[in-house]
Amino acid sequence: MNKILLGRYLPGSSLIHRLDPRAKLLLSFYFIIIIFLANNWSSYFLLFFFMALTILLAKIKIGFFWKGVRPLIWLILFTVVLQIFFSTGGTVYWHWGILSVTSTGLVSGIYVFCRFVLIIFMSTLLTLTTPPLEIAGAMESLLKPLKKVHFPVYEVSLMLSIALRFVPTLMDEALKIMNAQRSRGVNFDQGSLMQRLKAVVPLLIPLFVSAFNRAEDLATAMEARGYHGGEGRTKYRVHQWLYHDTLSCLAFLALTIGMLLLRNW
Amino acid sequence: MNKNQIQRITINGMLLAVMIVCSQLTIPIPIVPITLQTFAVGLIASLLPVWDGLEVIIVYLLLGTLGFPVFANFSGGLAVFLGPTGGYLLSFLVYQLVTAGLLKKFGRQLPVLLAANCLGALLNLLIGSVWITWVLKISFIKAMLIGFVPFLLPGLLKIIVILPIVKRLAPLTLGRQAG
Repeated sequence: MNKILLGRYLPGSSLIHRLDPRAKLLLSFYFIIIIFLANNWSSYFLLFFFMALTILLAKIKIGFFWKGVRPLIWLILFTVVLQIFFSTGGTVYWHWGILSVTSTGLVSGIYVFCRFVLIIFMSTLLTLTTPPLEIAGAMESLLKPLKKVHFPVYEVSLMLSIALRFVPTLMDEALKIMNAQRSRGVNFDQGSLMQRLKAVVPLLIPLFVSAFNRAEDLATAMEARGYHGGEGRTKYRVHQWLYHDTLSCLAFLALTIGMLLLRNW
Repeated sequence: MNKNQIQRITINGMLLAVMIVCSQLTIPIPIVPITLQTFAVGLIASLLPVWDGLEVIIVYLLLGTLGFPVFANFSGGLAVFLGPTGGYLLSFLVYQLVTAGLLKKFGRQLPVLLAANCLGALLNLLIGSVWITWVLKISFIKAMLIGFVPFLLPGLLKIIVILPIVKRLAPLTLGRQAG
């Protein structure tokens, strides 16, 4: 279970792996914005072509990307099916009560599916090629301008690192507590609705108490080692913006121009 | 930085981790299985001061947006916000603001806790349904039938279950933190 959350990163030395994490973060968000420019088949084709190119550059097997799609597959299918049945316009193929299948509905269903797949592939690419703490670090440096409006950037990035570090620990703990309570006769999956909901009380209380205790220990340890906030703290790994980062930005610029041209075609 | 300040950050970080863990734990209930995610949101809103809780939720949503699989069933990424459940996630912020804000204003007696949580949860469901209207382009009434009505009873029961937990945990947080 823990592997799913933190073991997503696949070490490598491809061009995509070596990109500055800040560039990767910004560009993957930018890509998601561009997806919404697509409004016809040729523009979706261009996006898929671009996506395939980046996947080739990252040298990661396509199977890993489908793994990213899998947890969302029901969400996607649900959205697509509702889109198909509730849209109106175009030729009507089938009709029953408020439900109808029309040509517009089918096309927009397929578009929605493509959009989901593209977005998931791109965010999977980011987490597959960048270690979690690098993403946290990149986020910290990208959010820095927000310090002017008193957004606690260092605090947030420290919270993020603490959470990433302790999720596996607390996940283990939660499973242990569940087993401990089962051995005492708590039944999580039987009984009436109220009984099942009540069964979470002996799970949540120990879990939160344990989290609070760990937080106190961690604070003591940090204070003892002289933690004085993020201001002036140095880093072991310093991000460097290199020419291939600029190059990838240019590639995205070209993609944007292509999308705008195809859109009005 | 003194220890109280550091501890405020470590508590927030740890509760963020708890929130992520809770999103992956499901209670099997026929038709609509519930994750412990909403329990965690309710507890955070009832236990933490307004801004601390808000920080936890913001960073949780941010992590999910970045593509970490922190949402229910190890899903993550911006795609989730495009789906029908995106509104519920975003309106956790409103839940936190409303519930923690009311608690700060009117104190933490049992009736206030109950009312504040109910209001927060109702707004959560309402915004979630409006989001569904927008994402699926269906009428508001239909969206309410899908996204609001079926969750009313489980939602209320959930709050009733949360209350004793808050009572038990409150001394742990509020004694240590000024808020």
